[in-house]
Amino acid sequence: MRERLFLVLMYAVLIAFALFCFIPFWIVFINSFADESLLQTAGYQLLPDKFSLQAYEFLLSGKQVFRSYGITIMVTAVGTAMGVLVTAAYAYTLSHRRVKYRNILSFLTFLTMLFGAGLVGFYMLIANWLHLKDSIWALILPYLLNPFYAFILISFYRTLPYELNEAATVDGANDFSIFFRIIWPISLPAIATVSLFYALQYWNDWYLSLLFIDNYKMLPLQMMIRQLMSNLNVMAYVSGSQTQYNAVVPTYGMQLAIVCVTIGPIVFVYPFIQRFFIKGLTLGSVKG
Amino acid sequence: MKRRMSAALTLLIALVALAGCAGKNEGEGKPSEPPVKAENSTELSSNAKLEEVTLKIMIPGDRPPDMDLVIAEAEKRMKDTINVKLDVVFVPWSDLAQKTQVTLASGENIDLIFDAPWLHINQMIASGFYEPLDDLLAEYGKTVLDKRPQQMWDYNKYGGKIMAVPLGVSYMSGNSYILRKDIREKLGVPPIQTYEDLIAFAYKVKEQEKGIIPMTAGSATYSFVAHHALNDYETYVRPTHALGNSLMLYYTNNDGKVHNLLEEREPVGTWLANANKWFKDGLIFKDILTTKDFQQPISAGKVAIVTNGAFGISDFHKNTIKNNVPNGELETVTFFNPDKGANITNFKQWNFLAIPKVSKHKERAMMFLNWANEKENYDLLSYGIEGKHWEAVGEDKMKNLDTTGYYAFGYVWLWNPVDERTVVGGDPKNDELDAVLRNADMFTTDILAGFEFDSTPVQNEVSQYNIVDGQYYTALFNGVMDTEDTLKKFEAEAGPALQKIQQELQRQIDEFLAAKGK
Repeated sequence: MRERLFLVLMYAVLIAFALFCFIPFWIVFINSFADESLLQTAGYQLLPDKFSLQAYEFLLSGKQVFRSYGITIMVTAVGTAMGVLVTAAYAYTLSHRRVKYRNILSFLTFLTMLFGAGLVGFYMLIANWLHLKDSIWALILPYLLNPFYAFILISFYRTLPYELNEAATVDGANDFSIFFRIIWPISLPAIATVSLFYALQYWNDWYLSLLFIDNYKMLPLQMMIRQLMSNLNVMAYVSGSQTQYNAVVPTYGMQLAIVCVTIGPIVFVYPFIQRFFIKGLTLGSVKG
Repeated sequence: MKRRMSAALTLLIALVALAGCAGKNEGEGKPSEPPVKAENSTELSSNAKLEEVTLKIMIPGDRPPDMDLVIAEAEKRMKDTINVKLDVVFVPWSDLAQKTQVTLASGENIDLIFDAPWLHINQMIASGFYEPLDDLLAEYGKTVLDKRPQQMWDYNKYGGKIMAVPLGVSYMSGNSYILRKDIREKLGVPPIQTYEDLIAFAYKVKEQEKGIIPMTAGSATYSFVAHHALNDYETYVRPTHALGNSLMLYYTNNDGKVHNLLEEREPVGTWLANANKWFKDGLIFKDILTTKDFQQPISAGKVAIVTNGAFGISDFHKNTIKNNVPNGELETVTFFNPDKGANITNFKQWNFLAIPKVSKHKERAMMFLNWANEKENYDLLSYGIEGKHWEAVGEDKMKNLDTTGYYAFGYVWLWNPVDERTVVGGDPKNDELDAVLRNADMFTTDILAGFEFDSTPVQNEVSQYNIVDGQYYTALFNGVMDTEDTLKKFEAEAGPALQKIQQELQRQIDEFLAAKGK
């Protein structure tokens, strides 16, 4: 009886906590469909009594949203693939016992984590030396090797027994096949985690496009939306000047609709990565 | 193995394709370089057809959907004369400071760039990023010069030189209070005439209209007390050059003396105490400090009175209130005095357009500006294509036809007081008042016009003050905090700093006036 009571209590606590986490998402989601004047007068509600698609219509009215989606998806896909490949390979080199200068390389990697050249130096490198302005590469290259993720992988590689390398070498494998055919498959949990990090980083980034993309047709999703929002807000300041806006812009609903539109696709990446997460946590714990 | 190979191959192809794109962009950029160097010589030797040049223009805002149409039309008109192509880059307002700063610092090629005193124009001029324009204006910018009155040029110089073209149509911003006309009529209150009437109306709303909050306001200039100061024609209390909008230091009348609120309370002290009383009486919106858009509560139908930085109400607010409150109606009331000489101005403009030193087409940039300040071209760039986006009504008015396709954003690159049109259908009384603001001769010139404060000697004190300001100022000037207590706290935390800034400012002003007197 007492056990049963405990169980019920436990469930109640868990359900309460789950609701606690879920309700904010729900409010954002359902209110993005609410009528604008309702949002302005009554605020956010759990179940609005007047729905409208105005915010989404406004948001999706231009062709630019779709173009921006395309850019973001492309940058995320290419960036993640390249980033993971480069980082995994680089980290493997740093963790490999037989690489002579690995400590110097590690130090250099570490150094850039602590000291940077500052914004202007970075900008000049990309814009004036590499001439990457208004190029899709400017959105990909700067994030290709994240030292922090590299160190995560290094510490993972270090847990792998070196005997694997020796055995493979005896069997006649060269360094490439050792890395791609032996190390890569058994490191999948860690690599998958890092892939998720990279995907999120590329997906959420607006900063690089702010700096390096002047051509409005090439703006990625986050930047395009940032621009839209910031200019809606400025409307408040210029009101009363000669600037005229005839339509009522759904400012409040827009904010919520934007959240839904931007997190939508990336949320679906999680279920695919999740199994690796759990594997990653348990892996190595009971291995003899 | 095979699958892996093909995956690697796909990746490779994708990379090559991307590289191809990048390469092409560069290729496009390059051919335009050589003619640039030849440009100067051809331009000086003969007035024959000029080489085609693309100007890169960086301005804040959002790109209108029909921008390309307008640019195409503009390029068509310029083809046989100055032969300029336009590459207009819009930067979001929120990222403006950072983006323009980095662009300038890296020495990237920009031909025209927006800047402003509230952004970082002083700093950028001090760092030598902008080209002095006196000679260019004299040679290529006749129209640009003619379309702005002499005062505007004289008092917007930096170190005696014209460093950027002032963009402005007036010498003061309008000010008024927006109120709910339907509520005023419902309560049987006649049209508001004086500030006392306004407050009496607020009390009446408090008593008789349950569920409606009488008043709200914004920060800085839009706070109750600062807004009230705008219409004080006895003392002319106004902010100084040192602390932005803050009235903790203030000028009165037109004598070039700096006053310190902590030492000389009146008349501001009384206004602060009044605001505090209203807050205690429940006239003021409780969430006044946390509302992001301070005019939103009135258009949502929650509040009856709000401060406003213009004489009229934007269509946006008119439409929003109709959407939210079916029979809601807004009106403005202003205590502005339109008489000749009643208002003091230093002719300082808010927005500027500069030509960076690195630009390779400075002459062409000026020619373009000159072209853009001709009436018909000004109309095109400001309002879009006539008949599609707008319609002229007389010489100085216009009617909007399609504001989603193209909307007026002339204040970031064109504005001059001669060509700017007002929208037809506004209150004629407001049009009259706006005309006063646009006529330089209606103002009394501030004795400090042309003065620039150099804040470097008191840099530490200013930042120290700003921290305390951020903590108390808005609350104090909207009556939320007790006047005496807060001023005491202000004194304790920022008193010495404020005094030092005051002394430095007064010293620089005395120097300026002495030099002027010679």
